Amino acid sequence: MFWSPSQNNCEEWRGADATRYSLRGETAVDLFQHLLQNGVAVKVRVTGRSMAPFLAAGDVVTIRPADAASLRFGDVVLVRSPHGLPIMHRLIRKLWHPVRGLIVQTHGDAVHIQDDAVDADAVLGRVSEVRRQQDNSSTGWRRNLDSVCWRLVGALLAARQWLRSSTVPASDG
Amino acid sequence: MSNSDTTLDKVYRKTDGVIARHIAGELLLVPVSGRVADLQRIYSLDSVPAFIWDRLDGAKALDAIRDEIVAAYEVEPDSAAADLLAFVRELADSALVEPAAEAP
Repeated sequence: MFWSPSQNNCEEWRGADATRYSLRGETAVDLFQHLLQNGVAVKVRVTGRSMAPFLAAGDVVTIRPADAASLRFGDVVLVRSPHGLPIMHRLIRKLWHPVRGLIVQTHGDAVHIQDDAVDADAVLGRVSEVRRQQDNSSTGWRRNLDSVCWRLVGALLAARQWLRSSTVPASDG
Repeated sequence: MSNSDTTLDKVYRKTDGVIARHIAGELLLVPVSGRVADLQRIYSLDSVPAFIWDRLDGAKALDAIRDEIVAAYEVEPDSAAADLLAFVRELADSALVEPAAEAP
């Protein structure tokens, strides 16, 4: 489906298709921010292993709008990293910085290095649900992370990482 | 109305639950249901299909949009109509647009 270029200096007409799109990097952050700030939760597929085994690649998570002040120890949160990329890790610490105000420290469950601390306005949302589909099967399970049980699990996992990490945020200041 | 009924005299409008967002030179369409956006079903439109998307306003019939395409691009009316109908059917299959009222 190709049409010839326009003679009136308009853009080439190449036909019209709607392409399925895979979110990447800064584009993802922009879209997450736009949707969540407008009160729309987002459902997205997990990539990477930094939160294994709690989250595995292929899991589908629901992220709800949240501000830094409302986050609790152990929540899995979506933040915009200082490099402008989306990171979905566990909250291990909230601190008050004399210049930056409230700052948030996250840490992946399966990594040994804590993330750079981010300002409160870099918090995009909080994961409220995880769905996992078993391989080659229509069966799976769903976790409600707002439940008391999973909040407790989250707090225990955060405590483990908090104990492992240094007491000073990686990029404090 | 089935998508096979998509003809140039029909009027289409954007589905209420679709959020459109221009990012990095592309128009991203995100279906939203029950205040939840499914980011596994994002569609990307570059400038050409976005030209059509902008005109699916629930008031303009497809033949009027075809005429605008022909005026804006060097393309034969029959070819423009065929591409337009195929694209609108694709959007309708993905629940991104839906039939509106008939053209006045």
